[in-house]
Amino acid sequence: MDALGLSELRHLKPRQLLSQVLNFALILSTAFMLWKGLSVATDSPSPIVVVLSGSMEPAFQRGDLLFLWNRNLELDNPSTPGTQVGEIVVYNVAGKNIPIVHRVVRKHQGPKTPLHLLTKGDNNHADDTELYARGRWYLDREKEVIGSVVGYVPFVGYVTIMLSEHPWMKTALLGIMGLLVIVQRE
Amino acid sequence: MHSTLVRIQNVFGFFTTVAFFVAGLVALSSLLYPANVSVDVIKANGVKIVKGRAHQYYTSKVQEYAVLNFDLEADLSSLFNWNTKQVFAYVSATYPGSKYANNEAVIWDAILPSRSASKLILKNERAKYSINDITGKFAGRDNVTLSFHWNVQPHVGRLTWGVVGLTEGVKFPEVERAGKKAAAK
Repeated sequence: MDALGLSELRHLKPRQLLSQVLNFALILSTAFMLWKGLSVATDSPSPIVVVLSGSMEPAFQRGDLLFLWNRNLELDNPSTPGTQVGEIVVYNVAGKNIPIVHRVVRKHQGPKTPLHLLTKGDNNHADDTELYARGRWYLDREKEVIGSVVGYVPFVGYVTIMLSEHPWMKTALLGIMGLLVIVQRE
Repeated sequence: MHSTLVRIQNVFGFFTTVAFFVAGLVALSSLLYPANVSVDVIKANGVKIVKGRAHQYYTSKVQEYAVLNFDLEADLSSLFNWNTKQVFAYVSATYPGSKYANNEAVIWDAILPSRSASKLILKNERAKYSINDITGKFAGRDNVTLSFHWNVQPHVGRLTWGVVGLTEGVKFPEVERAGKKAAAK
């Protein structure tokens, strides 16, 4: 233990150790509750996303953080403004697990049909029909889109790109964080 | 208590707090610059409908495409302040229908990176994107209107949108046949 620099652990009384573990659990659950609370407020399964590709440059670069809002479905309620052409939406294509951030360039809606959207990346020449599931020409606003972009913070999300591209960093970071929380004394 | 680790932690914590507040203030400062966009002309000329093959590689679906030209004069310079990264300007066409009552399609767009590019003067500009309807047909749609929109992309903060200038409705004409037969085959 001394070799690892963990000698401090030995000086902790069991009660103290337990309270540190509890402290750590509290931090984790607070973060989780904040995330889920935001998810409920925005009605989006993923209210904050990180841009993964350059298809919306120069508006969004890789690693930028986007805040989403998903209460603009334009279903039966006329008081909530619906998704408009020119909005930037984030959608998940069935079968692919990568959220795509692109701009709405077309919408078609009828009284009995769901809101259909066509999207395109600002930096792409063609629209997204090639990206959609085979045989699909439009997105279903309610089923496939997880929100429209309302807020923007540059670069901050680059950490998550680093972590997902180099998985060992994730393990190391989690280990160090856990250790610090347990070892640190008031 | 004053180990290197604690010092690093404190410095990093202070840095993030300061960065957070500065970003917040910059984002709020956007409210101090009211948008005052002037749009002089927006008008559709020469709407026509042609038949063409769908461009998705695995179908041979033939459908109608609407092509049109338009005039536009707009001054977006008031949208550029220190927290403006770019302005995305676009023109959309709105038209009615029976099964799909609300239809809107972007026919032209431009990314304006700076104030120097913020004055748009377009004369008889050809639409960048041709429109195909979700039903594949345009026949009998009266009242196509054009509108000019912009989306302000900040360096940090809230994205904002604006719209102005609905033209009087024009009608989608009948399909033009001459010379387009080959494409329709």
